[in-house]
Amino acid sequence: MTRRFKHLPGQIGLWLGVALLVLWSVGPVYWSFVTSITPPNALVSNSLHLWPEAATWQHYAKLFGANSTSQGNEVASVWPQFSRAFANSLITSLAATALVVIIAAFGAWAFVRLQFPGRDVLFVLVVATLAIPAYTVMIPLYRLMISLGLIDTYTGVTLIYVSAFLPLALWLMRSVYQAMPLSLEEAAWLDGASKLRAFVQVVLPLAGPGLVACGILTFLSAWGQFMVPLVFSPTLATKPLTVLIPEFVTRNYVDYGLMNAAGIVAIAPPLLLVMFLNRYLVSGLMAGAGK
Amino acid sequence: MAEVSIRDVTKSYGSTKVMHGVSFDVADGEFVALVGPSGCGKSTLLRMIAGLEEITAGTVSIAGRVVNEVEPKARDIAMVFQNYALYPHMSVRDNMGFSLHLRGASKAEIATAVARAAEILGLTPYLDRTPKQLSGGQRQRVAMGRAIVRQPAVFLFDEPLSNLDAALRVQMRAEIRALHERLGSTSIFVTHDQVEAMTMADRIVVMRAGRLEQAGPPLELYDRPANAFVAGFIGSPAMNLLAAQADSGQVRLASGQVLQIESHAAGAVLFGIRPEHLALCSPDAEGAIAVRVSTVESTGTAMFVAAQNDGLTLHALFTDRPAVKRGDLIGLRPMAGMVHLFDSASGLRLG
Repeated sequence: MTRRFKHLPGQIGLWLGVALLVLWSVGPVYWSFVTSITPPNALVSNSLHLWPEAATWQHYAKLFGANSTSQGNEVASVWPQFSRAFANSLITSLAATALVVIIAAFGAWAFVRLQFPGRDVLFVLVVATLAIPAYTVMIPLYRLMISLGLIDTYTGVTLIYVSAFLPLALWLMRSVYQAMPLSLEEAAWLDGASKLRAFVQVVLPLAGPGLVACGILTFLSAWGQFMVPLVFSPTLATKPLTVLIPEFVTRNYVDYGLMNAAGIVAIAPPLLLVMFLNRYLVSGLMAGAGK
Repeated sequence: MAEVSIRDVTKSYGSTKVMHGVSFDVADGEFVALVGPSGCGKSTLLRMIAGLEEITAGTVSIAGRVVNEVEPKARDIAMVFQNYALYPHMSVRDNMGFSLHLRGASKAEIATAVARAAEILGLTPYLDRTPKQLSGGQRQRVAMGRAIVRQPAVFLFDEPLSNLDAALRVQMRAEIRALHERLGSTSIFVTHDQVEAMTMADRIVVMRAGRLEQAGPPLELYDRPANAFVAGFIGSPAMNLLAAQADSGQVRLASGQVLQIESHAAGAVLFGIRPEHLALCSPDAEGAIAVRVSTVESTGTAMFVAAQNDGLTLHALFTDRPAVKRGDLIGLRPMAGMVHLFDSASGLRLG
């Protein structure tokens, strides 16, 4: 047996595993896409098709159209609702991401570099909130938000996202800073930089990949949130896509085609974000600092 | 340019005292090496001078000004770190010009100063590279360039050569010394390598366990170590230190051997003799210590011989390649006037 075939069983196993993973993660997306381009009558046919016999863009037309037909009747267009919810999703997710990244960038540095009493206890307490199930705080949080007048406001939803996703970002950034040699900052101080200046000009640029990772994680989590907006965004004032799309289910008709078309469109922003930020997620930025 | 004065400096972490009142002065333009085994507090002391470490008690003055409460950036010092601490996201040019940039120097001023420093250090072709594109020795030079570019009052070096390979270390040793001569700056150099300290410094400060053991010019430390620790630390191979009993002009070694000494010390002493101050003779010669050779190592320029007798080990160094081999019974005679005696309890030099 030659060297090349020696590891054949292992190779096959590896590829099988990869194939399974790809199927597992991409399969539903593919199925959603296929459903979104399948005519409504074919959706209820008995035979299963991996690709529709007659592909159609009618669901997308319905989504983006100024007017719309459903089961042969002229109905109100869904575009006003859809575009509004799309904007809501974008606004709350981007706001939460920006806030979380900024607070984590400074807060985690304080947890690593500043000396103050109870620092580590405080940090553990913050991170421990990750272990609290969201359902247990839902009712008290709802009452709190009502009394603050923050129900169905961007501020309210964004604040909840920030409080939910900040601990993980803090944790992540703390390990990023801990891995960074203190001597880099010390060198900057001796070069004449204030602590803030050293942080902004030396530490932050090097923490870039960590900040990008925090940003991606937060954006994806916020974009995919369902339960929080279901409770705290009752109207289209702040209602995001995740809550709107399931509402395409009407009393006597489930518009699978429309729901899946909307779902496919909803994938675009996170996909674009990850593709764009991915290049900054490079490792090895610290290379060359030391010996 | 400035003198540095350390007065009764102590350092405690909580209730643990790690530095017990160290005092010494560095004259303007002097090159001082702080040397000692790891954990002796030399780096901590350097960091206290830099302002990176709090001073528990005592004072550090630079150019006559007490700087205990002065921020690092206002102390007018530059430091070369053990790991260089170059800014990885900046080019060599920006690394070196950062301090001037922070002081609001004009672009032209920065360019001139960086170009001059790069010229001195041979870094001109590398100015647009980032640190990761440089070799270890080049990074070391960039770290030095960053320090010299703004002409600080005092240079601090924290074991800057410990990450270089042996050949490069010898070369950089000479370069740092030459740079010091050229700039005439006050420099404090921390190292655990006594050879570095001996070859580079005008004056050496030997520290151990948070205490200053001895400060003086390299050869003075070599010729007249103030105590047994300095005697054993300075010089390579290390001085032989043998437990002995002294009485009326002679010492009795643990092996029972009796040697004449030019001292009137009495009681338990440490009898110190450097390896190169042992002369080879026959085992039964007058004043010789009879020992059996256990190892012979030769480097070409010198020959190191280790020899034993009744639990007593002697190291000797010969440059004339005597015909000595393992198992030989030889005599080693301490050369006259080259013997050091230390009190065995306090370790202090006697006479």
